[in-house]
Amino acid sequence: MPATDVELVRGALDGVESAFRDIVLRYQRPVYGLIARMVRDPSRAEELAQDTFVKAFRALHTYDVQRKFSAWLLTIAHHVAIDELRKGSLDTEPIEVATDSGERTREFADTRAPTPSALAERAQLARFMQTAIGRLRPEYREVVTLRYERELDYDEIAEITGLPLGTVKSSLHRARKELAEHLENLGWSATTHSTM
Amino acid sequence: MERDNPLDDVDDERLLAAFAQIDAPQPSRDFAVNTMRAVRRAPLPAGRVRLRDPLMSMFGWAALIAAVAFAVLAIALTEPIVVPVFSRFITRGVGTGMRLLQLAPMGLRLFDVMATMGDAVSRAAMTAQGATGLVMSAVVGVVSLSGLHRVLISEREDSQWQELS
Repeated sequence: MPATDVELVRGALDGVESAFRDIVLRYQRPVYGLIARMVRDPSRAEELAQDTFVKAFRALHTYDVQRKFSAWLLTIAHHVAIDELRKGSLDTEPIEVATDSGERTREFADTRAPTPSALAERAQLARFMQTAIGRLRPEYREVVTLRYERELDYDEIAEITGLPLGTVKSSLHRARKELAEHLENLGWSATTHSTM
Repeated sequence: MERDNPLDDVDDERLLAAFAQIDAPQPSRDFAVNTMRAVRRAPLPAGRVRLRDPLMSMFGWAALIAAVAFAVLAIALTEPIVVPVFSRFITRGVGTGMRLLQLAPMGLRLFDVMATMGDAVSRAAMTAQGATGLVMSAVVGVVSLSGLHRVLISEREDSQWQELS
């Protein structure tokens, strides 16, 4: 049975290197994923994710075991990403624009048995999503990532971002609306199926 | 053909389903290794314990014990009281070995023994335990020869110990 987060934290505080390595392995994807979605620069995101873990390790003795560890760690990641965005320009233009040609017929494919065409559709959907998310404001990008990629509930998002619950809900509502508009602009309308 | 836009009905469930189909950004394969390197180097607040690898600690202790053992042996060999005891031990050991060799059948039989021993050594060398045993035997052999060498040289010299006895 894998060790719990609290057990790993206690191990790391006792100087057991493998305990903190397990924490890194367990949370590298959520931490990197959140930061990468926010700063939209993969190499910079990797540096910032690393910075997040270093900060977390240095502050590990302040972690309250009553709190959910993932929320505590993602709060640090949130602050690291926000600091980075404050330092640079808040550019929300997409890195890559998905303008692939081809018919965009779709019905969500069954992920349990992906056929080549289903895989192609998923890849296309991923590109569209990435572009649409990239066009969102950074604060919306964050709540969308936390809600839909990390599948966190509103309370956890509020805890991580430090926003009131009502603000999280309204931000998500507006983010969904904007996301829909961006996807529509990219060609995801309900009736068209022509090439772009 | 009419398409189904996943976000026509923009709600949580549909977006969750849409996101479930796309891969989240992932860090590079070296991310954890690089991160641990950075974590090890990070300065810690007072009172915090640095990270340590239990395996490395074990090796450290083993090296320390071996160093102490060698130091004790080296010091013991310089003591006049220990040298004759050690030399007697070596002499008897070598003498016993020689006598055993003399008793051993010569010729083909000896050749068979040597061949069998060679085979056993080569097989043993292919396993971790066997290789370790051989290395340890070699180390003991070197130490023994070194002691023998000291003894042989000291016999040619006039020592205070010999005068006293």
